[in-house]
Amino acid sequence: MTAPTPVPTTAATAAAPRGATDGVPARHWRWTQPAVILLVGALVLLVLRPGPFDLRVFTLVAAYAVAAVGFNVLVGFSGVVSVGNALFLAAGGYAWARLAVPQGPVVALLSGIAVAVVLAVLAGMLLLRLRAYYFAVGTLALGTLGTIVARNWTGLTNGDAGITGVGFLQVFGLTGVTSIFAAAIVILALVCLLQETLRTSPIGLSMLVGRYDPPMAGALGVRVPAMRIVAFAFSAVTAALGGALIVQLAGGAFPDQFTTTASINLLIIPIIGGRGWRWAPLVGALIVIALPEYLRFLDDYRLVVYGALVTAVALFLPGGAQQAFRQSWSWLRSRARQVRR
Amino acid sequence: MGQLTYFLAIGLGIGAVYALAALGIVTLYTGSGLANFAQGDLLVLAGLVAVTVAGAGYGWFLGLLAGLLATAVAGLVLGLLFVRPMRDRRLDVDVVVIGTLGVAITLTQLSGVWFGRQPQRLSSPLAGVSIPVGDLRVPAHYLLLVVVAVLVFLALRWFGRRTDVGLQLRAVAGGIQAARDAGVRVGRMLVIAWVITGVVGGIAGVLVASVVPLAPESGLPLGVNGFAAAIIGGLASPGGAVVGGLVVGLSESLAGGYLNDAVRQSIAPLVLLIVLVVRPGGLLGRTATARVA
Repeated sequence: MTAPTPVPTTAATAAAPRGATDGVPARHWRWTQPAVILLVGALVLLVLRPGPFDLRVFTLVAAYAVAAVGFNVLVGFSGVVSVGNALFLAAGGYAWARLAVPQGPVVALLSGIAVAVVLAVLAGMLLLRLRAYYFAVGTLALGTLGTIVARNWTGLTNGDAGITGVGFLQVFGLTGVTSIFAAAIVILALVCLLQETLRTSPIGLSMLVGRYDPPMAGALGVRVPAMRIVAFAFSAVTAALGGALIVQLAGGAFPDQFTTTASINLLIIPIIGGRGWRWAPLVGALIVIALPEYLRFLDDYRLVVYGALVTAVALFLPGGAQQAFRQSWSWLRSRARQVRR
Repeated sequence: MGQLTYFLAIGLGIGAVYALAALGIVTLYTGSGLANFAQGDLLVLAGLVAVTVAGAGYGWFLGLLAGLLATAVAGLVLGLLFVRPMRDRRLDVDVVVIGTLGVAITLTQLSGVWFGRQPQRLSSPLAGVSIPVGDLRVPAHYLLLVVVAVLVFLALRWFGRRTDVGLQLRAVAGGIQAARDAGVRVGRMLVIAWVITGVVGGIAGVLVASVVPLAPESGLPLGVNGFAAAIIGGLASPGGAVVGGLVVGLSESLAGGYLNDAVRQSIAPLVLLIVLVVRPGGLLGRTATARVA
């Protein structure tokens, strides 16, 4: 344990020279997390060399983590709860399925993001003025509608049969699931970088202030509704990216990938990870996506245990994994101090 | 003309189911400020228990009792579970949503393990009896649904306004600290609210099992429609829940009869969205003004 460094007083901080960061904690390493993610991803591919099943699970975790980064911003920064984000997952996924092969991956990704953002801004303008539960239920209805459209608009989505033969993102000369995994890791690193950039930007700070005390934020000149729409649109961007990855991994786009269950998973991920925490999307995705896969020995009771776990975390550990880490860390520190004494 | 009356009668019956589901949600909301996203799964639990008991030869009435007992116990367990974190503070919205969604996942999967994943149907005590409407015949069970929904509504209204416990429940919903200062046993009230929710959900579940075959996965759509009904009515108003349920049921029945099934499925979410956009507080809800502390 390092010796406690002298903490500068508030006055000293305020008087500190205005550097690259205005009034924000001076040292915010926004490159650390992307670097760690890239490093771990490379280690997994080159050293761990997981088998096909594990690799698929890891790729799905990375894809959901990508989608959940935006959700982390939505729930953690601006405090809005949406139960309909599978809609944006579907926008990204179906855009990829329809456009990737004829038009190329860049067009497919960008058009998926564009569709998702347009939907998010429209829905946000209509629904975000609602109070909390009403907004959650409104997005639930929106997601349900999205599933019904995906099932029945056969001209666009080919209905329940789905669209197959969708190709994948080829990176670093890799093939198959390995390539999708690498692409997912790179995209995850990028959106995590975006997340941290947002956190220290005026927009991100406005979101945080608007979450803790909306009237006060309004009095300070923060346009809370506009900030909520921005957060909602950002969650749509990463959800569209995640949707494209999920479709590539599954080898096709099917309505079942984008049901309310997917929305619920997306909502659970950042909360079980610890909303607003920068690692919440990844840790949450590991728990929500990977854990049920490795609980298969519980057989029929696997999802029962999972559901009970979700409730238990929500009720007794509202800070999620972050709270657990923090508490065990401070417990360890106090233990260490006692032992030294 | 006879066809229209038929669709209206069916719609009223289906609407009564949604009204019952919504009444459970509204009871919990007015009793504790919690929005229960697992209400649909409580319905399914009661329905499947009743199907199993009735199927074992004990008859419909014992099935109903068993279903009610199951959801009352489920409500009791959930109440005891939710009391501790709620005793001192109002829970955040996301915690409530996730917490009850976790309950929904658990209940869906438990029902799947216990009762199998096939849709099952409960034969109604009024099976074979029907009411002539023009040249078509509406099963009498639909009438039973409407009557029960009205009775449950009246009972809840009486309970909330005329009994001591009902008043205390409303005090808790208004503000935990204020209620406690006035001498209300807050934790006990929260548990009571959950048990009532469970019983109301149980009644709805057993009755709906004779109209729609229930599978463990039916919980979510039932819950969504119940929520649509509750929100249309304004979430805190039992009368609104009944109105909302009838609106959703009637529009579903008419859309299914005159248009197609895809429209029928999307009508509940569509109506909900339209109401939310046009009247954000619900049809019978008051437009809330935020209080700045």
